[in-house]
Amino acid sequence: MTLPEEFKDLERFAAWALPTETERSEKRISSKMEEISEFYAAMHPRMNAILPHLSRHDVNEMPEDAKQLLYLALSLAEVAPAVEWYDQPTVIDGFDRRRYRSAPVSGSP
Amino acid sequence: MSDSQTHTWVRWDTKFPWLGTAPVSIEPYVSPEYYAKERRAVFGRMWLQVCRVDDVPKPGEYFVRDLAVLDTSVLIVRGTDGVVRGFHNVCQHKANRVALSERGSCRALNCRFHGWTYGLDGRLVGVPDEQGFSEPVKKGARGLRAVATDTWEGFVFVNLDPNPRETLKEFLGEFAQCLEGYPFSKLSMHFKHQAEVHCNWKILVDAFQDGYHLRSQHRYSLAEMFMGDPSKSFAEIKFFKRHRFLSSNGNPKFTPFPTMMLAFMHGGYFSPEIFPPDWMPPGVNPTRSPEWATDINVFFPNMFIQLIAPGWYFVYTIWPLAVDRCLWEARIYSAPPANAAQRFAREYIMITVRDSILEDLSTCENVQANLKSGAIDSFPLHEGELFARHLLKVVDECIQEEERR
Repeated sequence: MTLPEEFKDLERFAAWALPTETERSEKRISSKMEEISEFYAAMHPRMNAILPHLSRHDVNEMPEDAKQLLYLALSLAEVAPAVEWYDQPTVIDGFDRRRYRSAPVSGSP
Repeated sequence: MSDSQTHTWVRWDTKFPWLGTAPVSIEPYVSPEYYAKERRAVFGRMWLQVCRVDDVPKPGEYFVRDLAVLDTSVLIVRGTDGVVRGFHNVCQHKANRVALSERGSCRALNCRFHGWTYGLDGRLVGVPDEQGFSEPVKKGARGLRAVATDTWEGFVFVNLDPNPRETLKEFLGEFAQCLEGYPFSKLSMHFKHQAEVHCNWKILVDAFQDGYHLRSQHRYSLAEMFMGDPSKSFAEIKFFKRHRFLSSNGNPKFTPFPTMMLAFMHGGYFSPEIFPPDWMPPGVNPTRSPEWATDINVFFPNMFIQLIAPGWYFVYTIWPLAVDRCLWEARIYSAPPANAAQRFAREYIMITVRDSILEDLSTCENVQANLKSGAIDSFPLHEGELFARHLLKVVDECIQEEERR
């Protein structure tokens, strides 16, 4: 994975650069909380730089390195409840995520 | 004491004494006999929302909705004339499913079993080796079986009654008029989730029309965004014959979660370009409360349109599969993102909605499993659970009406 120059340090989180909700969610629920927390702690403070950087591009025509960075940002959205709400990867006492299917999204890059 | 302060201390159930106050029997949630009656009297007679016109935007595009509750599958297709029609997805030769996938596009509807072909208007137009039938196939009588189909604000409804007693407009009545003009079709970005949930369909409907469970069930997630007691947080409750409406205020002291803050700051959470200052139809935030958080529009029997901040709406539908099983479907719509920050904000909102729903669904299954225990035979209902009472009442009325027919 290659990220834009100023975000190269985040390339160590390549495993989180996943294109679909299903994959990002599966990554979240199959990760240890320490791994999630490490990813969150590295990403969250950078978001104020990442989002304006990404938003310079047309969302439907992003260069590959920016697209990978967007996928990391979307993974941050995926793990946010694990960190901010539950302090564990899955929803506390929740319905099995694997029984909850995500269908393809329309109108989304 | 101001009017608004007085208002907060009136228990909502006292305003609707006709809904009753006694605990309700668990029978309608567990009885196979009752479920059999519901299938015919409710799902067989009412208008059911199956998709949006945006699911079939162009002529030849189709969408299939399985209706296990009525032992059929409905095929919605847009004709070359632009009209959206509905048919039983049943070939009139040997009963195969005409459309096999949930959605697709075609010039004609072709059954893959023996190759019978129907026009987009349902007429039978092609029978391979027609001379091989000793009795000529009566093409005029072998078109796809039509299902009453109509649209409201881009939502496609069907009615499986061969002779619906009401038009869709009559069925929706004043309830729907209040929402007309909401820019549903502009909110075209769409996340969809589905799950089979092991509970009675009404238990699941109740989970999404219950103001009482918020503080406990959603203590990790949504609870802080609201005020807690329904007496304090509900701005309006209305009943429109079979349908029901709730408008709720949020907690003005709520501090957004850290990632929610990012979504707010960068992500165009609101969509002012779609929503001019006077965007709200009268049915949205009808009290014009400055602390408004959400409206829940519950369409009888099984559909919700939940509105939150401008720029979003959620559609939930709950399809019975058996007395103790149903299919949950959530569709989350927003304006298409103009940039990556907006894309991120939409993902965040979708994920938080999804995780909150996961909190509800597991409880619904626990409840249903426990209803078989013999350890409980009725539910005492809180003012925040008034809608459960209304749902039971309307279902009962449908069954009584069916028995009089």
